[in-house]
Amino acid sequence: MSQATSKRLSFLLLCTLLLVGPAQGKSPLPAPSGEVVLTVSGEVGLTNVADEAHLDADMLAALPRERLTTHTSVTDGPQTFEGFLARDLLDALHAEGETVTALALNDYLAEIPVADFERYDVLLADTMNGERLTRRDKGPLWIVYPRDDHDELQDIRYDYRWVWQLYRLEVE
Amino acid sequence: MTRLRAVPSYAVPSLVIVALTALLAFALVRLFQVEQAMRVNVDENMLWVVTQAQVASHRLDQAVNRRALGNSAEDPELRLDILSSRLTLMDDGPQRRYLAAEGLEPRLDEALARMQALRETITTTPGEARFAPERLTPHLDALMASLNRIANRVMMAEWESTGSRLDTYRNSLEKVIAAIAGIGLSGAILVMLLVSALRQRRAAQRGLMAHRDRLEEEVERHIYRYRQAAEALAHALDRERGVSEFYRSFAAMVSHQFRTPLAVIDSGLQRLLRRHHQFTPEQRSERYTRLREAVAQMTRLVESSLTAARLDGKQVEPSMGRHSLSGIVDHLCRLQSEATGTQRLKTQHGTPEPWAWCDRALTEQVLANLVNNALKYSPGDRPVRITTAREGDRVICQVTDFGPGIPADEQPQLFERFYRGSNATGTDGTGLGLNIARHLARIQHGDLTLLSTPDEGTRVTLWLPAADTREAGDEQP
Repeated sequence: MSQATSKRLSFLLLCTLLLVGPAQGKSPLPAPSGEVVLTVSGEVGLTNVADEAHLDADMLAALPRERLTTHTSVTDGPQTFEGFLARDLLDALHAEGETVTALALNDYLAEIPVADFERYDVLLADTMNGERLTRRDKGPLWIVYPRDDHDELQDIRYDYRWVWQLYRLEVE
Repeated sequence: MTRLRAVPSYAVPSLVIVALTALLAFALVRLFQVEQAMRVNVDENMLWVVTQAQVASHRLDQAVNRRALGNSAEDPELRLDILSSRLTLMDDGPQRRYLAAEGLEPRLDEALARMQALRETITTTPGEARFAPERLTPHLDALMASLNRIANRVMMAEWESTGSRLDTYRNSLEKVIAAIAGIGLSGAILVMLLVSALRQRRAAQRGLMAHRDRLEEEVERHIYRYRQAAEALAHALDRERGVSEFYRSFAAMVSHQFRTPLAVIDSGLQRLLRRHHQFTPEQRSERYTRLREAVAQMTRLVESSLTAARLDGKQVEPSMGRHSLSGIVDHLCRLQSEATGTQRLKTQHGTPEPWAWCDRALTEQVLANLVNNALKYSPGDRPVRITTAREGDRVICQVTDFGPGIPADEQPQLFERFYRGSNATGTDGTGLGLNIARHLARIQHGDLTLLSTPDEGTRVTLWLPAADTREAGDEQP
């Protein structure tokens, strides 16, 4: 409970920074202090390295946490994921675009309509069944659709958008 | 007969349609199942998964070799992690089951073991030596060989599966097409049967209508016959009524009018019986003569009463024809002159010749009555004038005498039965003559009128329908 409260506080802090930031200068987003987990480029409102947003684990952890339990097309039984919503991330970075190109460490690439994030609670998961995703498995991040909640998502045309080993998003 | 044949002719195509619909439903379910299988089939992805694992292994091989050549930007650890991720995916539930079904589990286990060996080599060896190709390559070669076998087999398995799925698909599709064609054919047969049934029904309706028309004609014919019979019956009843009216009328006349002459005859005979010895033969002879006259008068009365009763009972049927009225008058005057030797009758005929449409005998009877009356009720030295003429669509015959005439107040009653004018007292008469004459004129669609001036004379006019002057027919002179 106290951990959740502190996370909530740090998110508020981030938000304050983000909101107040633009008035202070060209680099309103603080520089990442740890290893960069996710890079967001393209039509992004807030940046910290060149015209990109480089985010480390702490900065991502400041986003509201969400939990989602669903089946996947490559595993048996329901899996419980934790992470943050894709639309929360884009909102926090003032990113505006039609399409997001997701890139994976294994050079996999998928184009995802931003509308998906608005219509569904699409999760960028960093945890599966309580265990942190590593790059030896599907980490650092796995795009997870709430497949069990919407019948139309049980379709191979959505399956290819489940990008794992995600490390970069390009907003267009 | 038609019914018995109609039932199976409809039943067979209907049963065929039901059977074919069942077949169609079955085939559609099969198609749906194929579609579902294609949609949920995770294994579709398997070739991609294996290929990506192969790519990851080659990238690791490449990174190791480049690192050995001194390119420190290459990161074999990252490449190993990515390869691990690929192999872990293949080790997951659905993927592992697929590979097991294809007998590839030993190959997968071999690959996983080699990967574990690579990781151990890299993590346990210190320094740059941990990336030495001669340590890593044997494991990597074995791993790539296993992945090659797996990819090879998976490709064939997928093609097999796709082929068999296409077979099922085509089979189901053929069934669907056959069922639809069968249903269409049966439907066409049903429609043909329906059309032929409708045509038969229309023909039957036409037949029924024709039959109905014939029946109506028949009924009308019957009705006409019955009406004729009814009319004949009514006519017979009329005649029957007429006969009974004749008897009633005759009986009434006999009871009222015959008593007086009979009483006269009876008293005359009694007087002769009682006092015949007091009479001279001349007196007796004179009384016998008066009695005979009374009997003759009674005979006339009987004749006239019978005629009147016959008229009352409508027993007199005029037989109409085309006759010359002047001819009838001339014939009558000749007979009268021959019978009585009188010279008093003067005739005068108008031109053109008046042809009448009448019954000759009845007309003669009427005119004889009128002429007799005129002779009887006018002085013996005065003539009786008889004229004929045509007036419009009627012909007339006027009989005029120059007698004492009839008082005006008596004239309307002259045609009543048994009425006798005050001037007639003293002359013998039945009181029936004029009444019968008018009746006879009227049943020939004519009439009889009388005009009399006291001290000047009386004129009686007979009106009859005119016949065509030029027409040649059964005319008589």
